[in-house]
Amino acid sequence: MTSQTISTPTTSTILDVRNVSKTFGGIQALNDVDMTISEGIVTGVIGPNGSGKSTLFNMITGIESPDSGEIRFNGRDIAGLRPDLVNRLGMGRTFQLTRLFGRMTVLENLTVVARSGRSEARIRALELLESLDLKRLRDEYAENLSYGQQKLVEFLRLSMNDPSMILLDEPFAGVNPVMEQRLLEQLHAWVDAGKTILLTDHEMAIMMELCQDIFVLDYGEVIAHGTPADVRRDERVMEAYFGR
Amino acid sequence: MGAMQGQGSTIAEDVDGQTTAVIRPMPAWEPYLGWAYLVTLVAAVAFLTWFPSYAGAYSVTLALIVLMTISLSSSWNILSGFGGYTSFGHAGFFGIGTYVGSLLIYYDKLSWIPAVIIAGLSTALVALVMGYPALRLRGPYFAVAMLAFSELFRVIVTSWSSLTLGGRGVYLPIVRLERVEDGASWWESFTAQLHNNQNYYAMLIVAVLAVALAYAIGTSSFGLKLLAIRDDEVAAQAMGIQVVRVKIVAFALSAFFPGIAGAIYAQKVGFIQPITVFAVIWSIRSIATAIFGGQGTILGPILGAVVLTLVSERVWESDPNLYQVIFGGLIVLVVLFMPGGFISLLQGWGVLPRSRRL
Amino acid sequence: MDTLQVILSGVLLGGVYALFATGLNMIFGVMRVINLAHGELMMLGAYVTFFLFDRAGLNPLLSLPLSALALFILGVLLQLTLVERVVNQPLLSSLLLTFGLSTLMMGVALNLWTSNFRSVAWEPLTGSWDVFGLAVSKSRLVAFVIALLVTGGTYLFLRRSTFGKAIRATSQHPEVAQICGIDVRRVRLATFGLGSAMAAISGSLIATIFTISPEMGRVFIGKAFAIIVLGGLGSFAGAFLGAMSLGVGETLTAYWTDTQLAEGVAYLVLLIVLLVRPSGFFGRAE
Repeated sequence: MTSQTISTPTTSTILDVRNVSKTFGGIQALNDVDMTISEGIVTGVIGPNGSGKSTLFNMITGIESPDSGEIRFNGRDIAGLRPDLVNRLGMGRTFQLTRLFGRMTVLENLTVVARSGRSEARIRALELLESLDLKRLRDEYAENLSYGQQKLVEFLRLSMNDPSMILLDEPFAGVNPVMEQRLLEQLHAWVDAGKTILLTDHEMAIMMELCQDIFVLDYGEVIAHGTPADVRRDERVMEAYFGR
Repeated sequence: MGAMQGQGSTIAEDVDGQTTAVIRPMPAWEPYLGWAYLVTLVAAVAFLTWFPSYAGAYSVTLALIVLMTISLSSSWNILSGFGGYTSFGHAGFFGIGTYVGSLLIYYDKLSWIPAVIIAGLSTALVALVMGYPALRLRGPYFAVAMLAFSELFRVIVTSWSSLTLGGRGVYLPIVRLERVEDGASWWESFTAQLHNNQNYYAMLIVAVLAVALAYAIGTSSFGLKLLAIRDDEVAAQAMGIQVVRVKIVAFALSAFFPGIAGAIYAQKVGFIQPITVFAVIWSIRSIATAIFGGQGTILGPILGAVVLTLVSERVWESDPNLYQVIFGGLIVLVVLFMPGGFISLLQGWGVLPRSRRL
Repeated sequence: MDTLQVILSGVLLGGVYALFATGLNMIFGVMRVINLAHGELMMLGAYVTFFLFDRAGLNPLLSLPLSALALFILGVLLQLTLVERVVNQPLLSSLLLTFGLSTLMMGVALNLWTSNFRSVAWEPLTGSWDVFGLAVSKSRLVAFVIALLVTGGTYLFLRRSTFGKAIRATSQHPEVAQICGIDVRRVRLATFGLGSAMAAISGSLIATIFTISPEMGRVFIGKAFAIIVLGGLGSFAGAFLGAMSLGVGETLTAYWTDTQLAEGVAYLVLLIVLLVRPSGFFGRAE
């Protein structure tokens, strides 16, 4: 069991989102969003459905380009950079609905993304599977896995190249308590290893407990920012979730 | 954990109460498939090399067609089977290859061997150039765009008659057969045989290359990346796979073979016209044989090419239109009833293991 | 003057193209199936008209409803037995299926009727009329008017009638439509039938203008795609504009260069538009 490490927020910024806006065919998905993510801590993004969380993630990881603004990762502007290049700079992610390579085995799902040689990749993949007690699934086709197992494998897949920053898009959605515990363990292992986590989810209890810093999005704008305690008290957040 | 029960799969229970089917283990002989292939390939090549010395002209031609179809089918499979970018334009590369090769010979620029090699390289080059814009298109749009590309080139070749002789077609010099004198040495008769069946042997080399490449891709990390692109390109790219590069390379490799095969084929038939060498039937042949055998597998296209060509050549002889009916109907049947092809069917039934080497 | 005549000729031809393309767009809109066999459906319609004219001496204009009916039935049968099975599968499945079907149908036609060109030379439609000093081909003008009427009629049908609304609803949100009590399966059957009928009518009209052969379908499917990318994004009017632009582009190219290149215009247009806008083009027919 890993201990939950509460690290004091460092002042080192790993990701700096500045004035990012994005419109999709008439709808303003993100409007002048400013976010500073500190290194080594768990930062959360919460907000009602449609508030722009997934769009934000897609902007950061390069799947979409912002219409305006900057996104600086370790000082380097990555706005509009291709997803594979963003990944190679040290950013890993999961998706809201798991996106494994269905017709490939679990082991292949892990080795295919590796940037090292075949044998090293295989060794590392097996180690990772072992760490989550999933080694017996290695030859199973990914599409046959249960939902929870897929989520775990997605976690492992992004770990293959040891990213310094990890984005998790609703990792706890539709997950039973046992699986939730396993996901949390992996998360804490990452934090212990000094990685930066940016995650979004609707599970308020977990978010409040897990995150040291929280941004609240509503209709594509940041309406609140602070510690979980701050955010919990914020009127605008209440309004966004319950008011309208 | 549930115990293995013979050939079946068992349901295992997960820690959190989820259940999942466990795949049958790989048979012990699976790792030796590579060696088995090598042995089979060497034996096949030996047999096919010796083949023309006793077989009649018809059989040699049939064998040539089989070898050509293997090349077309396997190469189509690289981008479309492994990569998931179904193309309806394979005929376009075939046509371009026939014309590049044939015109180089017709205008007395080169002898046939360098001509056909350049034909193959030229289609690979076309693919490299087209690759970046073309491969941005999603599935069906790419397929249709490739069809348009093939047809457009047909029109261009037909219209640019000052260079290509247009619709009239191009006649190629006939190979003068060498006669073997009585009492000639083994070497003399062998070289004569090589010369008299030069197109056949050229196609044999191309087919061997295609088969070797199929195995190399199918068992390599490059091939696995193609499969990842096929299953979920966005996720693949988000995980750091250089999808643009991988796709373009696959496209170029895929385009080389119809180019060189086309040029050799042109030599063989001695006369080419845009309407025949750019005919959609070449794409249909490539697609039908590949998907019948199993797209995304190594053996599938080879199997499909051999079986379907041998079965259908009788038909082609007597009734070319029935040929279209058969291949068109075959595509329909495969899509409806066995989309993964024959290999996949056998794997599903447990007759063959789920090996990437198949 | 000559150029104007050529342009007019292209515009009129475009009308028939539009009818053909709209049927294809409708099928895609309702069931997300790219019907590559659409050209062969058109070809069959052309042959119905030809045979009725050739064997029974039937006036080609009178054969239109028969051709439409015959292909409506065939369309429904094809949908029922084949296409329905791939409706919920990825787009490529239906694409391959219809590609195979197209080849199959063309092969059967070639077998039955040989690749010889046939024509429907109906006396009242041969030659041209003088319209404001321009020579207008009779067959093209009549074809244009009929195509316009049929497309317009279909548009009204989709807008006004109950079943038309069901079709539009299914095209926008099949799941929701189903929940609202619409029999989406029947909608799909009818749509494929309707689309086929539209292809058939365009084929019959083409038969009065050009010579026909079993291979004509291949040529027209390319044009349909070009039209849809040019302007058929869901709107009937867009399809008409796109079709007429293509028609004019082709006739002018044929006039200025040699006829062969005119055939390539559609493919070139398609490739250029896809180059510029790779995000695709098929829209909903509303």
